[in-house]
Amino acid sequence: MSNRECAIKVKGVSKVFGRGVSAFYALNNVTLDIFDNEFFTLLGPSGCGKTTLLRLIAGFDAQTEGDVLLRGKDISHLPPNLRSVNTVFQNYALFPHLTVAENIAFGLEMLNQPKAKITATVEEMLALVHLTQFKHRRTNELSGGQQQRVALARALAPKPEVLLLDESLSALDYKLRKEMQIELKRLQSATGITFIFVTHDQEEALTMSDRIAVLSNGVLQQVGSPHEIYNRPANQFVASFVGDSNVMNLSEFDVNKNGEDIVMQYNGGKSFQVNAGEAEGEGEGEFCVTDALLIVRPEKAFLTVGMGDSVLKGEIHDISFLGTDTHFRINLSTGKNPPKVFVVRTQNVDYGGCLFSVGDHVGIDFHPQAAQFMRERAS
Amino acid sequence: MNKPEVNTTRAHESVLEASIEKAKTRRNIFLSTPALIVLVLAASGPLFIMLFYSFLTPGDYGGVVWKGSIEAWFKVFMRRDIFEGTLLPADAHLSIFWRSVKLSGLTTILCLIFGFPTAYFIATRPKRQRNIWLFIVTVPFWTNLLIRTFAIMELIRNNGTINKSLQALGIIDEPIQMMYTDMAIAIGMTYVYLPLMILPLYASIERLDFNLLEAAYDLYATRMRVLRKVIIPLVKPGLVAGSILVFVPSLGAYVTPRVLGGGMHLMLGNLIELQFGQGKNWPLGAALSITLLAIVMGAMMLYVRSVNQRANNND
Repeated sequence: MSNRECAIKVKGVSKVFGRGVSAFYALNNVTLDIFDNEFFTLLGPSGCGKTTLLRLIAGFDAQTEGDVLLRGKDISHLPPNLRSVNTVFQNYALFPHLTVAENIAFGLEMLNQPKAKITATVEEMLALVHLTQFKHRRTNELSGGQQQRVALARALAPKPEVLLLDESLSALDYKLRKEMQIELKRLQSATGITFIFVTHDQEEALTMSDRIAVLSNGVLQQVGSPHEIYNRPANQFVASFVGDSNVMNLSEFDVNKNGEDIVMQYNGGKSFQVNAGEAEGEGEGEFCVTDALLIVRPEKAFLTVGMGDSVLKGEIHDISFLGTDTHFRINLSTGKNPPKVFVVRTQNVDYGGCLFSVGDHVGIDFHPQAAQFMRERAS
Repeated sequence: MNKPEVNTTRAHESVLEASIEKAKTRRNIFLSTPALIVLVLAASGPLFIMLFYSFLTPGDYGGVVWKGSIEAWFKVFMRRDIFEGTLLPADAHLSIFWRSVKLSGLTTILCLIFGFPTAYFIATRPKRQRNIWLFIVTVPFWTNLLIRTFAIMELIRNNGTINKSLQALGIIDEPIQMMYTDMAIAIGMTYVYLPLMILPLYASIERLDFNLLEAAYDLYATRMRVLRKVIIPLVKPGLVAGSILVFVPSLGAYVTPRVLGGGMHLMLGNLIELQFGQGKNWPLGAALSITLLAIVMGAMMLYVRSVNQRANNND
């Protein structure tokens, strides 16, 4: 991966709003490499700084510290109109006084391209987003999904080096959003342009991205492929923001070292072994029981009937049927009040009704490899 | 048994409905009386009286004699040579028409030049500040027009503030003659009518989606082209409204040209006043007023047509 060419390099960028005591770090020393021809997603809750980073790359705001490089060239001090970077805005920002075709032609006209070339590119873009029959319409006569596609075509028409998409799908309804996710992916591979997509929707990020950067409070938490982000979250924030997680404190377990392995047991249940090296994780240092967490994804755990031999035991407190899945909320039998809740998700693969009902005593099992360990407080 | 009952109820209902409808209409006419009084008696009524007067003969001491004549209308455009009795165009009137149109146009342009940045500035302030700025814009309105005009005079007369300061600084030796010129009138009218330009412009700019400016800027437009290609087309309703609001009253302005033009540089308003006052020629004054009205309407129609045409071309 590292020998791929960088489309955008973000080097130690910070953005501070306000001064002195009231200074607020919207971005804190963020360093990122975004590769050429990549679908890259900035993921995080609202206020995490992802839109701020996007605006810095676009050139609408200036960073307080650090540099932004486009193909190795420092663009930190260039205004937006001199950066070969286009933006698809959250509210589309289509020009209401222009038609669909005129909107798409806008950037090309501003670049003073010859008329014939503009016409050809506009036709090509209209075809690409399936809007050829709407080219003479005003943008306010279009549906949300169509407006979205005009915004995309307008930003793609000048063939920028990088396309920025700011929460571009959040205004669409569920069905349309699903369609557009596939559409965006298709456009990205058809045009070969680097996409930087900003979203707070983890599912969207996992579906579309080649790589994801997770941000929280202006600090970069983890960068990696959707697979890495989901299966090997770097810290508790990533684990709980991307997907659901059952977080358990390791101090609740009986932990014993057995050579290279660590043997764990919870409240008299079945013991399980994990490799100590694995448990330590990458560069996490000494394995320390007191401040470490064990995280199990709900879909990686399964229920067993009765109180037989299982890692955890409990009583089903709540069952929610979600069509494809069923979520079980189980109160672990620890005798504590309030009880510790563990969530198990099962796919509804069978035809009959649910095997379990509220109040049943069940066991919970998971493969030792499903357990992920991390420190309680990430850097 | 049931059917007739139903029918009678229906009949009752329809009668009732009809009477309710009538009552509603009566009430509507009653309620709309103030509006009708304004529209018929106050707005169009006097205009018809003026039109009627313009076709009468002037009385010796003002007023009109009830005798039909088209002399007034003739005099608006033509004059008779005193010695030879030949017909000549009324060049005095025509030059006043031309000066009025020219000065009003100049005033409108000056108001645009000063009003647009001001309106843009106010519209881009934080919401709470905007009302304060708007308040400051409207404050001069609360002062008497005559006083404001005299204030301008105090600034630009030969030993007024500007000339005295320039002399004190040694930039000029002799005072610059600014009073009693066309420019003085244009400056005075710009000052007086500027709020009428700023307010509608502000209303348009405030509604402007500033994301669109970022979008244009992002799509390689220079700042100048963002202004020309996005801002101006989108705030056009405000530009049109502001221009009409400034141009129309400038055309009929009376106080400002009288004070700052010193009676040397008459505008239509002064010419009309002259006919009703010293000239004691009411029909001519009435005819000139109607002419002014026609010029304004003509100008507005031209403007609206050009705007519509441009809108059609865009489609």
